[in-house]
Amino acid sequence: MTVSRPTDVGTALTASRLNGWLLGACRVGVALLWIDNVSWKQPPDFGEGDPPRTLYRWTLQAVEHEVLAPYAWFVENVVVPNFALFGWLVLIVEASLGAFLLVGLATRAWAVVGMGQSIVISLSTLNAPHEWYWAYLLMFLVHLMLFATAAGRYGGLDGVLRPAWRRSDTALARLLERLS
Amino acid sequence: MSGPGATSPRHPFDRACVVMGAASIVSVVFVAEGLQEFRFIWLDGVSVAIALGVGALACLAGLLARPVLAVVAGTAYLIAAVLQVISTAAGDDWLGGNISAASFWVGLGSGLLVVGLTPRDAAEPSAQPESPSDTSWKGTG
Repeated sequence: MTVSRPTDVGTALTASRLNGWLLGACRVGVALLWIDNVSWKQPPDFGEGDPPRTLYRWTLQAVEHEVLAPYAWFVENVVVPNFALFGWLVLIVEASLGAFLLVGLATRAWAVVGMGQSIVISLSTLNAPHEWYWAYLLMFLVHLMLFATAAGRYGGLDGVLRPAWRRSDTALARLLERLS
Repeated sequence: MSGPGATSPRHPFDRACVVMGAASIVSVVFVAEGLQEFRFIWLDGVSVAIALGVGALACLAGLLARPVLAVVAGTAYLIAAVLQVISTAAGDDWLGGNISAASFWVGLGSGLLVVGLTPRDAAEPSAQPESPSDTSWKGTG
């Protein structure tokens, strides 16, 4: 088995228009999953109450079906007592993941955020009853793939805007080029 | 670059506006309850009018090569997204959509704003996507 050098990888990715469209479709598909998933993060209580519902119920799984002791401690002692704040944080992160992966803007940065959020979700629910560990592994890996392929450059705004960012001397343009 | 009155967008920014506007219009398909678990976004009532109206405005921005219309459409989407979150948090969903619709509109709004505000004389159409390994930029060592 051989490993392609970066230039060969780039050639392979751009050699076929179909490859680009498939990468773009994959990115949009992942975005739609996040967009769908954010629908049950409902403010202002995010399911906090008796009985626990939605996001609050799933957050408690980190304590009731511990995956990693320090994370379970953090959830029990920091997240749960301040649940409204963390509920809004989850809503903003996941809504932004769907939003920015959809249009392919700063895609590599959001792919990293997606990997992080996949880990957080895994640490909360991996040991919950009836959960399938493949799902969480696949969540992480698909974001790793979006990062590695810079998927926003295929049918996304990163591909449209990078020439302009490259020609600009502003710090924001340089930052956006790095994040794409 | 297309001039005012053009009907076929030539600049990549204009094509992006048309695609985002068209995506918004196509999103109305999600009113269909028959989609069941594939109903990624919930739209109803006023939110349908937003998806169609602002989507049409974004398409016009691209077709007429008017960045200012892209900025107006982008701002409208972001305002609609904030109103949708308020509507959901209030519990009566007077805008008719759900949080997923807000997420969708944040994407379109951010995209249209960035496209509308990026100077066009600095842009150059790229024939092919770059390699993922290309992280260089002009003016740096």
